[in-house]
Order: sequence, then structure tokens, then C-alpha cells
Amino acid sequence: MPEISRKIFISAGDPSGDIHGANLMRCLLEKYPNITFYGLGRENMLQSGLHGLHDMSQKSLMWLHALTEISTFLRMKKECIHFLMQERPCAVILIDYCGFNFYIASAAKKLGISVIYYISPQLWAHGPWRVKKMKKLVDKLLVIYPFEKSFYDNAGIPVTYVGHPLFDEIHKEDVDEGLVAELKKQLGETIISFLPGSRRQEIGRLLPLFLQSAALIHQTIPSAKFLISCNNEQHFDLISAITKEFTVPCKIVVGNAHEVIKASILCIAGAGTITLQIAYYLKPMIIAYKISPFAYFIAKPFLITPFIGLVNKLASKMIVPERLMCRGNPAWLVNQAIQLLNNPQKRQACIHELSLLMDEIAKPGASEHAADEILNLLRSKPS
Amino acid sequence: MSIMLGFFYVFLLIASASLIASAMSYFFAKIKSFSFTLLLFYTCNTFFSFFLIHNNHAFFFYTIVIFLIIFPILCLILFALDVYYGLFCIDTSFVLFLVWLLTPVLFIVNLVSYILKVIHA
Repeated sequence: MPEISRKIFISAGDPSGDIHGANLMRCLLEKYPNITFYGLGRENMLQSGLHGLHDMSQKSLMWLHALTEISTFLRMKKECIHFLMQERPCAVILIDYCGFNFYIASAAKKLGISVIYYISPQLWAHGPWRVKKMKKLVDKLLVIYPFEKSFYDNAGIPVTYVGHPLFDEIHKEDVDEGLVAELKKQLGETIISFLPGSRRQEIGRLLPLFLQSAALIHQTIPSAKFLISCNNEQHFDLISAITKEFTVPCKIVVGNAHEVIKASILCIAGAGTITLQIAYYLKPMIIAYKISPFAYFIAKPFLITPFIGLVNKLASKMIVPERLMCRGNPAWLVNQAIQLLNNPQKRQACIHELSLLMDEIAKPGASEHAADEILNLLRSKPS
Repeated sequence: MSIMLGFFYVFLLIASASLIASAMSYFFAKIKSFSFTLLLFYTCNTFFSFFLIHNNHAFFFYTIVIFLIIFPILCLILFALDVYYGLFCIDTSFVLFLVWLLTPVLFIVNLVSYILKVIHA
């Protein structure tokens, strides 16, 4: 690529997208320092040099909750389209967050700007018909799970599997062994951690269920102590308020998810990327996801994947217990937890399957690989 | 009058049966069965509303037709077009929430109207 300045528009909405976006930006800048990034992101992307058009820190919303913020989203969309028309960046990089990013892709396509989608929305799990939209809107798709490649290949979308950027993060970050030791010292060896997710709605639905099961586990295994991972300081008040409704002694840890997982002997988590993090540390886990009966009724015809948990989907078999619930079923959680805690064979089998899976996918270099693919695409385009 | 009420009773039976059948066929992703039973539900309920409500409350009847019949059917058509042609940027599956909120409302409105008719008969 000739050494000229290039503008790239990049957009991420979710906290995880922000982290992966920041890593991608750093890799691109290392390989090609003359890139200037504009777009939407959070603190990590801003620290990596993003000229932010809008603060995305409160914009992690799902389903109908997004309707409450519709005027803000419309204003953001208008600002982004205005920017694309005025500045004509050489490429648009979109990171997950398809509810908003599809609009940016559509506008960029109309202006003849290359659209690269990094971290595909999980169309293979729900709403697979949206792959037709993806094909219309995207020039290149960079996917993070091996099975996604064949899914998009079949749809005729140019796609490259780059690996999961989470493993870049994990390899880069050193676990604070001091904190792990401190947690074990405070709580003992039988630590069970709850990782209810990164969105307020998920926390509100899952944490009460987890805490109900905690009370029952504590009755059976009195030595069990509980940690709650709070990935964002803004969710601390919500988690504290929910915790106060239960009598189980729990410790809330803000950030430090790696340390929480490493200190635990069992993790109980929602269905998201966090399950990969837990799998990386080879910790037995239980995956539970809860939606309202009405939402389940609406979504049921479109649930095409037999697994809700990423680790099970990646392994193509049930290697850790998982359940999608309409009504909270703490008894099931307790039963699974006690089996994984008290049955050494079951526990060992779970750890073995997780280690096989991690051997296959837990390789660093996703951000770098993605950066190479993006630069290849830019090289093939005139500036 | 009793013949009329018997006639309405048949409508009520078809409406309730088709609502249950459409919900079940939707849940088990039987598209053809869902389309047929929902069409039967809307057709039956349109006539039911017309005979029950139109004469005395024409404005209410047309409101029902617009919000509880035309609007959800339009939503379903747009959703079907989106599924087949990928027309919209937005994930149109949210219209199914609206449809499944409004469909039972239509049945309840007709049921209440029928009960009132029976009481006043």
C-alpha cells in the first residue's frame, strides 16, 4: 500500500466489541501508522486513537429495549452517514452490533465504500435469513468461530476465519495471581463464581436465579463460597441490590473476571463469550440462560442451533451442562453443580473435553490476522 | 335471536380453535399450517366483529380492523418479504412480538362483545 494517509470508519457498540476493536486498531496502526480512525466506540477504542463521533458507553441494548433509545440511535445514524458522505473513508469496519451496524453498512455501500464486518452477529443461532442482508451489505466478513466460515461460505459471502480475539486478550493479560491467592485465602478452596453477563437485562434475569441456586448449594455444601463477577462498575449497584434480596454470603468482584474464574472450582454463567474465557482456564461450568415465556414462544421457531452455550456449539456436543429456561429452575442448576463438584469422574471428563476444545481454538493472533485481511483488501482498492 | 347467538357461537369456536392451532403451528415452525390457521383466524374474526359490532359501533369496528387485523397482517407480510429478500437493515423479527400481542387482543375483544351480546339477549 502506498504510504498515504487513510481514513477508516470503525463502529462497535458493545463493551466486548470495544475491546476487540481497540486491539484491531492497534494492529492496523502497527502495520500502517498513517491510518486515522473515526467512528463509534467506547473507552478502549478512544484510548487507541479513535476520533469518536458518539459516546457508546450506554448503548448496549437488546431487543425491544433498544426502542427506548430510538431517537438517540437515529441521531447517531444521521451523524455517521453525514460523516461518511463528507469524509469518504477508504473503508468501514463494523464490529458485531448488527442492529445498528447494518444501517452504517447500507449507507457505506451506497457511497461505494468498502464494508468489512469483523465479528459477525450470531446469525447461525437465530435469524439465519439475515444472511441475505449480510451478503448485500458486506464486502468481506472476518469471523471468529470456525463453524461460521462454512455457514457464510454457503451463502456466497467472502469470509475468512481469523480466530477469536478473546484469546489475544487472554494471552496478553497476566492473571493477577496475588488476587487469586487473596480470594482463595478469604473464601477457601470451594469457590463457585457467577458470571451473569455484561448487559443489565441479562444480569437482572440471571443473577436472582443464580443466587437462589447458591442458597441451595450452600445448604448441601456448607464450605461453598460465592463470587459474583461484575464486569462493569456501572452494574455494581444493580448487582448489590439483587444480592441484598438473598441471604447467601457473596463477594462481588468488579472487573478481574480472569482472576474470579481462576480462583473458582466451578463457574455458573450466561451463554455468551464468557463461557470461552471459563473454558480457557479449564474450569467446569454450567451455562444457564433465562428468557420470558413469551420471548421463548416468539423465538422458538428461529432457534436453529441445538446448543445455547458457545463451548457446546464449538464442540458440537454437550460438553458442559446447559439449559435455556423460561422459568427459573434453580433445582436443575443445583443438581448439575453438585454433580460437577462431588463427582470426580464427571468433573474430569468436563475438564478433558474443555482442554481438547481449547487446544483447537485458543490461539492468539486473531486481531493481527484480521488486520492483515483488512490491509489486503485496502491494497486492492485505489486510495 | 337464539339462531343468531348459535351462529356467533360457531364463529367463537372457529376463532378459538384457529388461534390455538396457529400458535401451535408457529411454535413448531410449521409455516404452511401457521399461514392457513392464521388466515382462518383473521377471516373468521373479521366476520365475527362485523356481525357483532359493526351495526351499533361502526367506528369501533373500523378501529379494530385497522389496528388488530390490517396492521398485524401487514407486519407479517413485511416480515415474510424480509425473510425472502433481506429488504431491511433492521431485524424485523420484532414484528412477531407485535403480532402475537395483538392477535389474542382481537380474540378477546370479540369474546367480550359476544358475552355482552349474550347478556343483553
